[in-house]
Amino acid sequence: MTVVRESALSLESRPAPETRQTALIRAAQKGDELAFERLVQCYDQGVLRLAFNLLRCSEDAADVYQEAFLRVYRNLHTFRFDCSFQTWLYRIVSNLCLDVLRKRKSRKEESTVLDTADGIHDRAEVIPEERAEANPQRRLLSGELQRRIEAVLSNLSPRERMVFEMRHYEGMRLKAIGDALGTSEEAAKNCLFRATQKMRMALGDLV
Amino acid sequence: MTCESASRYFSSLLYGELTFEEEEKLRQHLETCARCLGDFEREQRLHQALDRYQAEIPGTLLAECRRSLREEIGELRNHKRSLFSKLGKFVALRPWTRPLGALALIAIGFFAARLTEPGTGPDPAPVPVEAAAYRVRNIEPKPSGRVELVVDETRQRVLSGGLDDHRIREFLLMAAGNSADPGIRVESIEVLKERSGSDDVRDALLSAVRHDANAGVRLKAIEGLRPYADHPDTRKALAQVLLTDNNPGVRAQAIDLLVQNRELDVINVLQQLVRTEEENSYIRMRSQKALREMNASVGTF
Repeated sequence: MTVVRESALSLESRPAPETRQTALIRAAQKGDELAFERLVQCYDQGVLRLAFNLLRCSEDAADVYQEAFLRVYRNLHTFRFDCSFQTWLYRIVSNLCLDVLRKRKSRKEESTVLDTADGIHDRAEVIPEERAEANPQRRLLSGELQRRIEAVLSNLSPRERMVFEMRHYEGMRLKAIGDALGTSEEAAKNCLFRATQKMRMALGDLV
Repeated sequence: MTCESASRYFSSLLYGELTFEEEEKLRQHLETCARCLGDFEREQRLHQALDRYQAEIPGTLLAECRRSLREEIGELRNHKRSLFSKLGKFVALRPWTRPLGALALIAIGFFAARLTEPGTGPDPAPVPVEAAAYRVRNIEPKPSGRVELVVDETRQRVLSGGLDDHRIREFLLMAAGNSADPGIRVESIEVLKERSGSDDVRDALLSAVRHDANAGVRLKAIEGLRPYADHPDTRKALAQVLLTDNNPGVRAQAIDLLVQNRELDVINVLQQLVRTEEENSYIRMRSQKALREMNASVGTF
């Protein structure tokens, strides 16, 4: 049993059981700025990790982070606790990420190969491999495997990519993924199966 | 179970998404079908390779995002305040609007009082300022000579209770994941690990193992996971630690825990570690020793 010696915390003290997050959300809905900050800090690492893993670009990930929490700030008063806050937040984040991925898919990739008077040059060859430098764990992967993983991930459909990232890197359960994407657990499962099957086919001979 | 249906379950097994019966059927099939076992092992290696592809968020990105969000929200608030101040000026310049405004306020007050239940509003009792740690957010001098301050207050209170008390547990879980003080994170995990059988605590321990910046906290979390060393999520987290953690002490403890249940997936990870570990010879030797103890070959050919 909880014994409260000094009941002066700004969070609500109600007789009915209320989780810390619920109290934070209610306080933030009433305009408590500190509660909103704390609420953001409970979730923002996961949000940024998901966006960064998915988009592999600091600027895009930061844009998604900013826009997602601004939407939360503007619309928190409409949150009615009919789903978990995490589900609500990840629904916003996944929609934003899917928008970026879809835009990328529809944008025609600019070729890196230039045909000049001196012959054909591939601009990609002179671009330093920033990712490998910034991320030591990647060095463990053989160059070929890394290239193939990048290729297969970029060929997944945005939804397959989203489900895979949420399950594999964020460790979210399929039920929670389905809720966040507004679909069923079974649909999320099928999506994950398609994604892993594509990866198995593309990488099977390398592992 | 057929080979075709078994292969559909491989990923789900590795993600811990199978029911008890489904897992039992699959494991029975794997014991009798060498081809599927080989395919399953390849699937495990694929998962391990994908684990290592997880991107690391650049060091300062989170702090930059938080700062930028704070600024943006600050601007939104200022904008809201300036709207109110414009409304105030509008009323001040047009005296005929004052009686209308007063009537509107009376009407709002009347209906609000009828619509709201008594006792649901904020506690009107003033809080003694000396008892609070506070931060001044806004200062507004009034024409009367008084000053209006907007203050964030953080006050302390003491909670006590058992680990079965959900509020105590919530606070401990929050402290384990979010406290800025690594000492508090270690103490929270020390207390929580008594309940590592429950999903929320185990998730907190796994998260600390994977993401906590402090090696002491990661070590304490690994210790808490000891009774669940054979759980797929634990093994996955430990394998990740083994290949990516920058602290040799943490990696050594991960090896100890992984080899407890001499399972095949560990052999791949250890063999990979023997091949790739260049910084720390102790870790390489420890991996070789573990492989020999498991009667596995030290190298891959």
